[in-house]
Amino acid sequence: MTTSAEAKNLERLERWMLAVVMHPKGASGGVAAPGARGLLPAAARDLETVVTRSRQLSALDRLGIYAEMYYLRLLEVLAAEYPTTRTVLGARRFAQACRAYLERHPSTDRTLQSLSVDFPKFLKRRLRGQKGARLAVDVARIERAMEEVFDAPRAEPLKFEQLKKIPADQWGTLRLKLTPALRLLALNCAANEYMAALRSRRKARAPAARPSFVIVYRNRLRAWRMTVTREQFALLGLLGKGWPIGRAVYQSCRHMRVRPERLSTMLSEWFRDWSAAGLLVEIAGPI
Amino acid sequence: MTTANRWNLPDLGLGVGLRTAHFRHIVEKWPRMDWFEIVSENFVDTEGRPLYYLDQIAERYPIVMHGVSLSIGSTDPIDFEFLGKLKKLAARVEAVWMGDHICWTGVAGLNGHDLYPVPYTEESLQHMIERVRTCQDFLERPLVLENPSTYLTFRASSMTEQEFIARLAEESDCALLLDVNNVYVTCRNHDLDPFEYLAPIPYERVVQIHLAGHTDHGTHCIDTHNGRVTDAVWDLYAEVQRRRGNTATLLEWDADVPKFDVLQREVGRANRFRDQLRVANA
Repeated sequence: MTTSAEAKNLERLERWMLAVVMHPKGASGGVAAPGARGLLPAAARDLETVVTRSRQLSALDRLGIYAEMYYLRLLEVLAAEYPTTRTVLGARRFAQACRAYLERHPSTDRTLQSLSVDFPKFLKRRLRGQKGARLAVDVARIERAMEEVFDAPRAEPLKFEQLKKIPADQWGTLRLKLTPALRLLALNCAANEYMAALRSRRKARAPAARPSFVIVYRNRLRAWRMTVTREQFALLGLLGKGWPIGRAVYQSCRHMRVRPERLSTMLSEWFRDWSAAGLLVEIAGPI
Repeated sequence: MTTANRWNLPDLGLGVGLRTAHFRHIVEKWPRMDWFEIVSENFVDTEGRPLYYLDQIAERYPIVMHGVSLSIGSTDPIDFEFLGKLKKLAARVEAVWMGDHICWTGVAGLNGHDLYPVPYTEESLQHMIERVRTCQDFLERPLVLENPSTYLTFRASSMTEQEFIARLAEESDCALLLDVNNVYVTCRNHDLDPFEYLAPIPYERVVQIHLAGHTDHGTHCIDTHNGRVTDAVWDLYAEVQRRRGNTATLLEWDADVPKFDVLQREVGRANRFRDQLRVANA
């Protein structure tokens, strides 16, 4: 048996092998597919001109080991990152979605942290109009956010006492920087409550469609998720965009029907809770 | 028997791979262990819990960095940004050495997250030698490269894997990590004699040995790192100890990860061979 001339070229051989092992129909589908055939036509005619057989396995079997491991390994990664999404969709539907995602978004990174960065968006397109789509997409967005805050840069949180020292007349110019380990999610259903119910082994029913606001953040090395009000969500969003504190408070709370004293108490409680959660990391001057 | 390596890198004793499941146990109990090996990629793009624990562990134990995606055999350009991250991490944890595998993991900008074999040809060898030299220049230290477990061979190969490894090490002046479980798995999959495989290895370049479990499917073996080291692999370990002398030895156990004391006991079995060697040398 002689080696095909093309298979002696390292780059061509590597491209061919990756095309084969990443092919959604496995090694046999990969070898026969136009992509691989274009790179090494000889392999499609006689695979053993490129890959040798062993005593027990054919060349195709041996390529198949790599092809099988490619999807198994990455499906394991996605299942670990999206356990509740998997519960919502069911194991089979989730695995199908993952395989389709990996076909469309093969990994381009050396680490696996960003493998599933587009998974929630992909699910949204894939599941459009299907049963359970709203919940699955919202849960996936929360689970992706939890992955991101887990790995986000560290920042020393502000203490509430430091916030209390800001004179009221400086609220108009000073800004608050938020921790990079925070994600704000405007959702289409109460996905966080659903996840909490599942976690505490309570009966979890698919929630109806209604706006829901969730923050996901890291505090003391753990990722947390919390449902917040529309106003809290808006305020954190504006602070995150660098708005001065006073303007952010006015803009986010201007429609609240509460007395000024009550609003002041509420704001104090919010900032106390947010500093305890490590969300606020720096008092910055005017830009 | 070779007693020193080309760089005088230390015999660190017996270590295990640092895994998430054991972080808390380690920083609470500070168990007896000579050193830890980390999978570099698990720590380069995170500032969360993994790095928090690693910083503490690195203060008490020697750390070795072992990567899985340097892709030294790939025909894609070298990723200097990634190398920069590795170098920064190595400085942070004062890594005793750092390395990866003799393989490629991706091409054309894609990553398969697996250790793919190269054809053992003169072209691949020269390509890899050049890349190892470039990486070593950048990292300012020798790379410690490991023989991978492989499940296929290419018709184009014109030399054996062990000849390829020996020439790569000599001509690029890199160090070697000899994974004896991989030797066993590869030889099973390619109908080779593992003891013959060991003969041409340049032992003065071997600074580390890996031990691990594998899964035997009858027709082939997979390097699964999911259980105890088999007797056949211990036999190979004894042979490498005989040829190389006491060398930093690490147990990898990545699937069905047991409690830490199970790892301690399993890697401790290597002492039988190290101790025998000490007696023989006395």
